[in-house]
Amino acid sequence: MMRAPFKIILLLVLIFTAGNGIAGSTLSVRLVEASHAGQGMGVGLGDVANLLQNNLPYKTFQLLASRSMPLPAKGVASLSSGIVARCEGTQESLNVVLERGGKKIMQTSVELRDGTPLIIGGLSSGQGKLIVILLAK
Amino acid sequence: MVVNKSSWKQIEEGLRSRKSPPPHNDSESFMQDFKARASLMRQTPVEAPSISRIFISGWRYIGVTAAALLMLGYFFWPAQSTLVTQVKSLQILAPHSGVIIMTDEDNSGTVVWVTDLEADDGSKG
Repeated sequence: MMRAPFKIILLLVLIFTAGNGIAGSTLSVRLVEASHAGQGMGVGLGDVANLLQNNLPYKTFQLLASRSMPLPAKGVASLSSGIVARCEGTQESLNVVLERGGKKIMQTSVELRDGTPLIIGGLSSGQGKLIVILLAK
Repeated sequence: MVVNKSSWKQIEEGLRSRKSPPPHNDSESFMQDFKARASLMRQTPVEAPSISRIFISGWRYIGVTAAALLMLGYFFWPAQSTLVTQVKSLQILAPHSGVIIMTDEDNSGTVVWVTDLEADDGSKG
């Protein structure tokens, strides 16, 4: 039988490691189009619906493409609309380069928390804006 | 302190003059008197700590100390207090007018928004 102090220590270690938040093994990259045409959240965006609706002034969010790669990442996610995301590095230090039509648009270095997405937006599209969502799980 | 016989004599006479109660002559009467006085006070039995109890008590202290250290480490570990994704560096390579970085802790996420970003399709946002 486990002694109470050991139980407390084990519980705290579990809380500590869970709170740390860096435990994902897969990086997902999604391309979303945000617009004012219509209203609603597209399929495959349920986990980021509140984040998108509460922070961005658009009514409609439509998933255009979704890719995933293992972490640590070293790969290229070819999305639609000529958008390419080049990802390299660990979850703690992930370098991302976004390209459009073969030209670099932006590059960033991020520390991804497990289950907390990073939304990169502002790319123009026909009806609104394009958004890239990075998420480690 | 040195007490000579004459002093003892004086003490005896002094006690007698103050009519102090006579001393107990036998152990039985002494014990009866002692028990009667002791019954007036609440007696708490003192238990000798056993080895196992000392051992468990020690582990409790270790457990509490470890818990405190873990909690301190949790709150003061670099970048541990933030629970959302962090942008360490950002470089916009296309023409733009500004960048907004928002952290939404309620919805657990970070938003990077580039304004007036001139995309490759020629349009401007």
